[in-house]
Amino acid sequence: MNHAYPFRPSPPDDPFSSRQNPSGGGSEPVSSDPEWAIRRAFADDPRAAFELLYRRYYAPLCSHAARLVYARDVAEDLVTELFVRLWQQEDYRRVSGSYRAYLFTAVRNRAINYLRWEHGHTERFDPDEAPDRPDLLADDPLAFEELAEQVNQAVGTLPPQCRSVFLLSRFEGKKNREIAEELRISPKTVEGHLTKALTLLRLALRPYWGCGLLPWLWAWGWECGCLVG
Amino acid sequence: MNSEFPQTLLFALFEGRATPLQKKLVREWLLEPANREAFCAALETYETEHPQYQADAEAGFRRFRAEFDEPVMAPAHRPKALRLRLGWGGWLVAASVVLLIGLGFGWRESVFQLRYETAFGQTRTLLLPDGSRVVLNANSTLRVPRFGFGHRTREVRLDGEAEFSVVHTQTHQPFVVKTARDLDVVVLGTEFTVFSRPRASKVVLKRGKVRLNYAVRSERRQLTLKPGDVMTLDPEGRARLQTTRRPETHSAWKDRRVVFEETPLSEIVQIFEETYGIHLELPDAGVARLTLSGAFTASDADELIRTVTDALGLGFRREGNTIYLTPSASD
Repeated sequence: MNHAYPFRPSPPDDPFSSRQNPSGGGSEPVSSDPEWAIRRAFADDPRAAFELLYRRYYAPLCSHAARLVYARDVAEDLVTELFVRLWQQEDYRRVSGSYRAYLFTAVRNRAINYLRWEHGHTERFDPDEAPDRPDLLADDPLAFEELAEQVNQAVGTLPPQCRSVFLLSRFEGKKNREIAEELRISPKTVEGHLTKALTLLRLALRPYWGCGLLPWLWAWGWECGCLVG
Repeated sequence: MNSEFPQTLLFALFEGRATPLQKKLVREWLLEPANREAFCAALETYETEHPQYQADAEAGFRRFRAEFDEPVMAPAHRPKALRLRLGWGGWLVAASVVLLIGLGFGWRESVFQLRYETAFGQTRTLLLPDGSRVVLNANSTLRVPRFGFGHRTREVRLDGEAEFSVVHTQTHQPFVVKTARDLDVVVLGTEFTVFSRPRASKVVLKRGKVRLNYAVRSERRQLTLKPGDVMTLDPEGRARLQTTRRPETHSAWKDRRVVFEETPLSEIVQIFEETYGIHLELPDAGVARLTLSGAFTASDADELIRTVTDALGLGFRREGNTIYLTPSASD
C-alpha cells in the first residue's frame, strides 16, 4: 500500500448508528433482491458470501470514492480498507439495512474524511487513535455531492498544463520526475503545478470544512454520541 | 414511501448538474430513512453505468485475499499493511508515490477521457452530461472528454456500434462522433446509429440531419444524410449510400433483437465475432452463401444460434467460444 493516508484500523462510525441506517424500510429483505441472496449466503458460508459482496461492489465503490479523492490508488485503498473492516471485525454480522447502503454510506464517509485529512483540516486528529469523524453526511446527506462538485469545478478550472500534471500525478500515480519527462518541463515546474493545484483545491473547499471551531465541535459531538450509544 | 424518485434527477445530482432547488428536493426526500436505500441503489446503478474509472475487482480481490484474509477479532491484530503512512502535509509525497499495482494500460488516455465499454453480449445505455443518450452495443467502446463536455466540445470517439440521440444545445454546439476509419459524423441534434468495426463503417440516420466528413484515399469528402439514409464505408474506403424505409432495424440490437434482410451466413459469422466474441465454424463454403431474413429476439449467443440454425435447417455444437455448425439439425 503506497499512499500517505493514515488508514485507521477500526473507524467505529461505519453506518451502524441509527441516524444513518435506513431503519425499518431497508432491513426487510425482498426476495427478488440479490442483496437477499448475499444475506442468506452469509448465514451459510460467510467466506463465499463475502467474495460475492466484494466482486459486486468493489468497482462501483472505487469509482464513487474517486469522484471525491481524485486519486485512483487512494480510492482503492479506501474501499479495500472498508472491506477489510467488514471482514476482519466481522461487521457483516451487524449490517441491518442493505449491504449496499452500508458500503456506499461508509465509502462516502471515508472519502470525505480522507479529503478533510488531506487538506489539513483535522489538526487534532491522530489517525491511529481518533475514530472517524461523525460524518458530514449525518448533517447533510448530499455533502459528498457538494464537495465532489467543488472538487470537479476546481480541477476543471485549473490551467491546462497544471491540470495535466495534477491528473498524471493523482490518477496515474506518476512520479514528478516521470511527469516532467513526459511533459518536457522541469521537475521544479511540476512541483509548482502540483502546489498550485492543491492550493486552488484547498481554497475551493475551504467553506466546506467550517473554520477552526467546527471540527472540534464535531469531535466533541461524536464522543458524546458514542457514550450515549 | 416515495421511493419512486426520478432516477434522472438523482443522476443529474451525481453528475454535478443538479440545481439548488433539485438538491433541496432530494434532501427532503432523504429525510425518509427508507429512501436512503433507494438513493444508494441509484448510486450503484450510476457508478456501474457511468464509472469515473473502471476498477479491477479481480485484482482488488486477489490483493485482499493475499493480505487480509482471516477474520481477526482481537484489536491487537489489526491489519498492519494498511497503516503505512507518511508525515503530515505529505500530500506531495503521496502524489508522487507510485501505484505499483493495477496500472491497467489504456489508463493513460482515460485520464482525460471517460471510457465506457461493453463486454461481449452486453448492451448499455449512457446519459452524457449534455443530456444526449447513447446506447452502446456489445463489444464497443465510447470515449468522452472528462472536462468541458457540452461547453467546449461535444466530441466523442466510438469503436464498435452505438445508437445516438443527440440533444440540440442552446449554443448550437455540434456533436461529433469520431471513428477509427477517418469518418466523422457531425450533428446538431438528431437520432442515428454508427457502426465502426474493422469490417466496415456504417451510419444510419433516423431523424434530423447529419454531415459526414470522411476520406477516400486521403481525399477529404463531405456528405449530408437525410433520414433513412444508410452510408457504408468499407475497409478500402469505398463509400456506398443506400436508403432504408426502416432505419430502426439498424438499432434493433438495443432491444436484444436481430434483424436480417437477406443476410448471408458469412455476415452472421462476423456478427457473432463482433457481438459475442464467438467464432462460428462452417461445415463447407456452400453454407456461407445461405441467406436469412426476419426479425429475431435473442438474449444471448446460444439463443441466437439456435434460432439461426433452426431457420436454416442446420445443427450446431458449442465448444467454449467456438460453435461448429453441422449440416443437419440431427447433430
